[in-house]
Amino acid sequence: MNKASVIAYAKQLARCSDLDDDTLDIYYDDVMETIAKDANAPFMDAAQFTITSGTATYDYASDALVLHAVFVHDKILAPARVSDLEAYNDAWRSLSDTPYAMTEDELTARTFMLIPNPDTTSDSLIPVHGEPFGEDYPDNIGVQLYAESPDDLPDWVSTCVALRILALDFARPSEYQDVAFAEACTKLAEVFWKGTGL
Amino acid sequence: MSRQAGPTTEILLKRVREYGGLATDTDYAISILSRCQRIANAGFGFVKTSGTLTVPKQKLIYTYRSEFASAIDITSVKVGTRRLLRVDTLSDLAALDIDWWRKIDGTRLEAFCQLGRSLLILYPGLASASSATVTYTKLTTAATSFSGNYNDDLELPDEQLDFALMLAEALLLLSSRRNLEASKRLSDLTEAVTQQLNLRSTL
Repeated sequence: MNKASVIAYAKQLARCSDLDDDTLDIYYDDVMETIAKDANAPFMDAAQFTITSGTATYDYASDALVLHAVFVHDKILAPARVSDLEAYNDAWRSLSDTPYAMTEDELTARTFMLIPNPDTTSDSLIPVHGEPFGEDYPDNIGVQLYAESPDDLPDWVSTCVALRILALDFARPSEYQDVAFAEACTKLAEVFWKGTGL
Repeated sequence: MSRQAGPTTEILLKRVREYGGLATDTDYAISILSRCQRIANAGFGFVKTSGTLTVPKQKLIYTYRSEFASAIDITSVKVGTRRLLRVDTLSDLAALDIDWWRKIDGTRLEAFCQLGRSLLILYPGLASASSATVTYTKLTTAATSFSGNYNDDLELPDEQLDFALMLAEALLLLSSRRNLEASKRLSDLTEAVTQQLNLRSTL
């Protein structure tokens, strides 16, 4: 189900014609972000990114909501805090080598930093076999594993998402505010979430 | 044994005291039941199926939802009759082999790791292409039309259908703004979910 279908489903569940599509649209994004932040985020994806020698900071993949792991070539990078890095070496920002750690501290949202600065540039992806994560895997490439909000939400999770959207919308002050309904939606969404095994 | 979608929807409507769909459209009711049986199956894996996954040379990571469109949760991966070890996290994979991410010269698959409900890692990458049998909890067939799907068999086994009916009942009551009744169903549901989870953990 795409976003519009889930919103239509939520409106059908609420049986209320006053609901505003734009508001529900925002709540949909909020709910998907909350789900992505869960330790058991159900929707994950992997994307490669090109590493440039001397460039430490990289952007999240365009559809990434929460970054779960970063690999450089053949290693998973250890997540690190800036305070730990400073304790390790005051000059950590100027080190240059094969990255072994990454941090998101003190950076613009949706960016992360490889530590130390990479000293090699990724090979280009040459799609000979059509397997970017198989035989075509380029040397020194970076890979992000992340939680995403899928364009096509599986049907088995759409009810939970629709209920959470309604819980948010009916709890806010509006002409159709219904706190009891919002609370019931929250509780039912919790049970349904457990019911899906997540 | 399984029940048909139409008569089960009629039972659902009786449970919410809307005989024949007075205030609840029958197509709406059957679609709610359909979604709830999918939720029940997603959580408790009553209905499973298997498929063959092509394992290309050197590949470790798969988007399994694009390989098996109806797959929800992977329960086992086998090569022939040999079952692969299930590991739950990337840390567990690292405990198996610190260089697991680019271990691509394997002679046989050893382990699998499911990440969320979309990614599958098969360790190690193989030096030559192979295949594996993946067993997964499937997305049960949808029913959307009361008249069109009336005689369709629901895929959930008979004894598990009551759980899906309870979910559907709570959802319909809530949808009709019968919040108090929905709340009462909620406590039954919470108990039923806990019971199912306990049962699952003892199996």
